[in-house]
Amino acid sequence: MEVCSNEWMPDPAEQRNQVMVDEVRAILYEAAQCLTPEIEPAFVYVLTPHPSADTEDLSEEK
Amino acid sequence: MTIREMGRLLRRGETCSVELIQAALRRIQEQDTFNTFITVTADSALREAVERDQERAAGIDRGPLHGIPVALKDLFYTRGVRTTAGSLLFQDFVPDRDAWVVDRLRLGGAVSLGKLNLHELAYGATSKNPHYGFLLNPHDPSRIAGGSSGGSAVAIAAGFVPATLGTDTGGSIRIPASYCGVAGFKPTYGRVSRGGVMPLSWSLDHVGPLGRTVEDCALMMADIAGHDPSDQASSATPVPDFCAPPPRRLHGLRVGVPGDFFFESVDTEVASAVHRAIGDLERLGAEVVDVNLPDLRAASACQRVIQWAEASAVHSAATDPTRIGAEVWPLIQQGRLISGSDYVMASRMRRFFRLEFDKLWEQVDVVAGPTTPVVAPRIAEEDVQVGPDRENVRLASTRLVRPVNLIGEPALSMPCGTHSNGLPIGLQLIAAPFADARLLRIGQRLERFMGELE
Repeated sequence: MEVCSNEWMPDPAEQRNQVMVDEVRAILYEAAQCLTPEIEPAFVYVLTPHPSADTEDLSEEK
Repeated sequence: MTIREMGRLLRRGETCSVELIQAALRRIQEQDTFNTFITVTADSALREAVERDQERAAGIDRGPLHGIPVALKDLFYTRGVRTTAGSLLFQDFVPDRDAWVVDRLRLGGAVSLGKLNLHELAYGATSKNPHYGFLLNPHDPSRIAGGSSGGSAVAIAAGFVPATLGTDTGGSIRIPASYCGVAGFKPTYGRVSRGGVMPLSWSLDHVGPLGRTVEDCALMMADIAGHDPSDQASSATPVPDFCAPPPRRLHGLRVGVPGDFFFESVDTEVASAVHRAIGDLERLGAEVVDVNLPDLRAASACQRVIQWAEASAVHSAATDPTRIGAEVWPLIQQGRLISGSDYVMASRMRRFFRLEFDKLWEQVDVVAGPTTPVVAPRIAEEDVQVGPDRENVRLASTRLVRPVNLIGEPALSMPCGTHSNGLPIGLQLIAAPFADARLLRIGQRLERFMGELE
């Protein structure tokens, strides 16, 4: 009688990908120990004023 | 011929744009054994050349690129001409508009001959494209051209055009420039618009020129630099004069040479050629200063994390591995393993490196080192010998260029010698943000000096 194992076998390609990412992530987190809380991410969400933004005119409209 | 040489002949009436374009098209047809082009736009090129000649006859001169043949990496949108990104995913994609820089080149009078082959999706350093053919190095067709802008460098090295457009996310202009013996310039992030360019990694993508000479790159920059409101990263910083001639001497220039990162694992002949070029800068009056750079190995790791995450987001719809090549598919999968926290941490480190480099630019004006640690590897090689070690070709090729994309500084690769195996060696010069024109002038001065020595 043939017995089929249903034990999960890891995908070698997925394992390689994980190893690759983990190696790089380890370098990142080791270097990141120097970070202090005030160092924000480099991406910054900057808004520009909308035409209806606060202006000096507001008081004159009253 | 360089842009300047072609322009001189055009202005003297010794040739015309139609002749230049016809000759280039003939060379491509007869000599392109390197898989350089994905699409050649011969009809539109000849039509535009006729128009440029008519303008010249009427006394109209659009500038240094008037009537000059150029070509575009097949990542730039071209109205009515398919833009494949070197991928099967976009093999039938025909944009309804031109990229901002393509418009600018046309306004400057340049005539595009077509769309250049590249590494699939611009995501890699070898340009071994499984769909449109491996790009072969004109100096030795058994070697890679480098990538991802492989076709952009090959088109120049093979003598088809004097200048091209490329993109650089982790070294993709500078690597093929180094391997193919041409000049390649990655401008400051925001100096040249990414509008209408297929993205790979939004915060790391740079558009820039490749040329036979550094001067060719500068002349291209004069037309493509500027503010594009449609690109949210585009800078409104005024555009300097990229056509200004280089100084005769480089007195007062401080050249930083970081021994640890740039020279610690590099082919000895590459290192010697780069040191000779640094010596030439010194002979021109520059002061050479030993500097310690921030930890660029960590900067490289940050760049990889950001590129992985952003590229996988760009290509989130790419789920069929049968439509993507064996080099690119794992990279997209790896990007899907990056967590939000990883991405934010890499972006915080990016801020840290920004602050560190701002301090560096108080000490020196330029940092000099090799572009790539080796000359062009063989196509069949997965790993390359670097000194006593074997290193993966992609990781070796990107090792010295990738960190610059993280911080966005302008960086130039220019030929600085020849290896004993006959292959070109690239020198990399990096400068402070928005010192693009100055960096190109330094490169031009060095280029002329090295030419005089030959």
